[in-house]
Amino acid sequence: MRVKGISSKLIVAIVILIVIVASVSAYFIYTSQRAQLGAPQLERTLIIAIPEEPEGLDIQQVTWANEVHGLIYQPLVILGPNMSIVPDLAVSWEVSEDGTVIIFHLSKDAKFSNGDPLTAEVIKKSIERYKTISPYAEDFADVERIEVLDEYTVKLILKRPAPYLWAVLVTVYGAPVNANVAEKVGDAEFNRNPVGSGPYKLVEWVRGSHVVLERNEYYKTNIPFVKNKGPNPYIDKVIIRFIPEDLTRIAELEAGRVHIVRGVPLTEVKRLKENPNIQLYETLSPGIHYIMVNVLKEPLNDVRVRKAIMLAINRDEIATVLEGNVVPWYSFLSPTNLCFNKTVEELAEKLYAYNLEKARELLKEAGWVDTDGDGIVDKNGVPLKLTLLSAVDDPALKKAAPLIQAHLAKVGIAIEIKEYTYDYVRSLTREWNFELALRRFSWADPDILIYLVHSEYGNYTYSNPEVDRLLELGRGVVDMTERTKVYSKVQEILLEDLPLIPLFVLKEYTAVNKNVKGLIVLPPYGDLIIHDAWIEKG
Amino acid sequence: MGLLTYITKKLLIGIPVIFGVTIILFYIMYILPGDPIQLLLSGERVTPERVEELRRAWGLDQPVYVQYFYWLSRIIRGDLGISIVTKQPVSLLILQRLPYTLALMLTSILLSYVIGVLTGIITALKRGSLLDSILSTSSIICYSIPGFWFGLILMLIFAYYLRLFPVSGYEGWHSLILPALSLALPSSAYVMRLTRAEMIEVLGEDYIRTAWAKGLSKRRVLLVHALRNAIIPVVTMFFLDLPWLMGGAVVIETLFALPGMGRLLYVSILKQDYPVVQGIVLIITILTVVCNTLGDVVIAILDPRIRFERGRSV
Repeated sequence: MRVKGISSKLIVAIVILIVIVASVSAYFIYTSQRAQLGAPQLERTLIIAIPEEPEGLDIQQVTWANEVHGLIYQPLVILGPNMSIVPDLAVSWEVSEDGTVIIFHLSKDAKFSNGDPLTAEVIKKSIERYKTISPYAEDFADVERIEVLDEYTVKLILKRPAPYLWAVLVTVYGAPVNANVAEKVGDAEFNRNPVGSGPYKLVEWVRGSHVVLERNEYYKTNIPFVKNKGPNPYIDKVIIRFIPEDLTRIAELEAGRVHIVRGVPLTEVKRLKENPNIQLYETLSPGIHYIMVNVLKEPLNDVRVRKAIMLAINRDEIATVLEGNVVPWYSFLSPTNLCFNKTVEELAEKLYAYNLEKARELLKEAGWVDTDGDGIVDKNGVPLKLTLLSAVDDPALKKAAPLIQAHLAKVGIAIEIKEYTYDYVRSLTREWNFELALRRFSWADPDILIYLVHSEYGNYTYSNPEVDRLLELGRGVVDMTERTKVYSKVQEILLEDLPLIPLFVLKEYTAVNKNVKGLIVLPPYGDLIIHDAWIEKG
Repeated sequence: MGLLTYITKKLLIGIPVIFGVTIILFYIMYILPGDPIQLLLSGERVTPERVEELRRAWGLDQPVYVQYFYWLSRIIRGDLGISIVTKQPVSLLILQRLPYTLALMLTSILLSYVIGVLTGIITALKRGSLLDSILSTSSIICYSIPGFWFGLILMLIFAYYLRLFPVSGYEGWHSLILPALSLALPSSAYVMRLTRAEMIEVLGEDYIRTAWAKGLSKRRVLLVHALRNAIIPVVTMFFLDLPWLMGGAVVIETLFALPGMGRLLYVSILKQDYPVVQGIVLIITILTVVCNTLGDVVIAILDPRIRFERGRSV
């Protein structure tokens, strides 16, 4: 026993020694590295954390865009704070009377980030490339041909007036790429290492971790609401980190190691609002969260049943449960959609404000009454049971589903909730294999409705020749007031037919460390405008 | 039977295992709801024709066995294919990520065995003492707690409050400490229990009593006579643990935003990017077969009896 005691003491001593040596050396190595990276970086390098790594960096090959593309590319025009179109790369533009010709004027010294001149010729080539390789090639389908008038003037000739095209042009999807470089290096390489004309350019892409962007010294913009029209002198570098886990992303922000966080989880909003070091920028999503209805399926083919559902949902309660992060909504376009018409929303709210009595009446009219006293209405012995598809990966929809279930139970409709990923819910609705499905859209132009309720474009269950006609017409109306009238009419018909049941408009948040000054978070997509931003030493 | 033949035989047995795993996995990916193109074109502004066109381009309209043989014929030529999501070669994607995952796995397995074996020996020698009770209880707690929870707690204490380590991301080897520790703690508990049990058993054997009686030094008795025999099952565990840790790496790499293969696997499964998923699983399966073989070999070296017994029966 005596011998054993000595030996275990020795082992304990060794363990303690190892632990001490390891932690001391780790600490010194860490602090020395922090000292190297620390002081100057905090001022000159902006660090942004986003949830997902981009699939590629060539905006013409990717299926979705994020902040990295937003900094690398520069659209010809963008949407200003009041939803009007303002210049960015283009100096000015003209649209012909009938809307079939668009002419862009470029500034004479416009350049790509590699120094190549950004001329009309390259823009033509870039749009033609988009039409051949982008998964969203249909965006430019109505552009018949592109003419180069002179080095700084490019003319788009359209098959028909296409105002919806502006919704593409104001996003990074419409931004020119250096198609000459793409041609030289090949599409695969260009997707790894693209050349655009945005305020920053790619230096390094560490897969699965981050991208490093450096100031584009050739950058020049015509955005009217920024003071600094050239490269930002205060921010040399932007590091965009991909942090998939919500809690980790927020922890990095609160630990001061990241300046800006995108994709703020709704559950953290309340806490972040109370943090004195953090500012939350709020934007309203350009679209709505809604229930898509399979209008071909019994008993949902009866519009009275759809109206009863619309009336029975208590949207205010949903907003309360979601901690005020959504706005209750009754019509089909949000305030950050183009052609939004406030009177339509007011009309919709008047028609369908929460009213259980009216909902019960409509169900009764349609023949649904609770005859056996089990709390569920029935007709010819069949109880009214419906399946609602919900999305596990959409926190707002996921939380809303059980509330809707409870609301509909009050009028005797039994709801079974089935949860899948959002993308799978969408593909089930595309196959018409559903009854009710929670869905959302986010796209500024009202033309998005053509993919949801037109009988052919989106190919969902709903079909109404008048809606089809108006949606096709709406694509081509150039005058905004006239166009708004068309989409208001579309919405009025949809309010009668209810193939979609609007629920709410989501508030989206960008969380920013307060030492970042002069930042603009631009609605509707919450684009980061860092032209006038600087970072105070924290 | 020579050691070399033994190894070759073991590895050959692994080949049908590898094929079996890839076939099963291919089928699972196939019966999963949705398909990669549907998931990829997540915007609304896309027509059904476009989706069909892309599905045809990737061969997703073919029956599952055709897709599998197409994949297999490329694998045999050493081509892992192209990722549907990023359109980059799968081999490149994996090679970029593999070093981080290997580093994480090796660090955590070293941590877990250093902690596990040492505490195992201590508790075996001090059986019944207060120290034994404390360590044994905490090992059960450690074993029952999932790694990601450890990860969050370690992150909170050491990165958020004490700022000793980075919260997430890879900034050098110190970035691996917290994730490795959160992977290591639950598995070290298991190693400790195993070491403790084996040591206690061995210490009760006759030959140990003989060794004491011969008047050998304490160090010699414990390290040469007792530990060498007690450690054999622990070594087997070491090699079985390595591929198993990969499962933990998927969660831990995602939590700590490390650019490793586990996170790539996680993202690719979500996007149903089946060439990448297949590629990674192929690598993990090969790794598992190799590790199992290595485990057998090391045991055979440590305990020559095993080689002959198994050699005859295989």
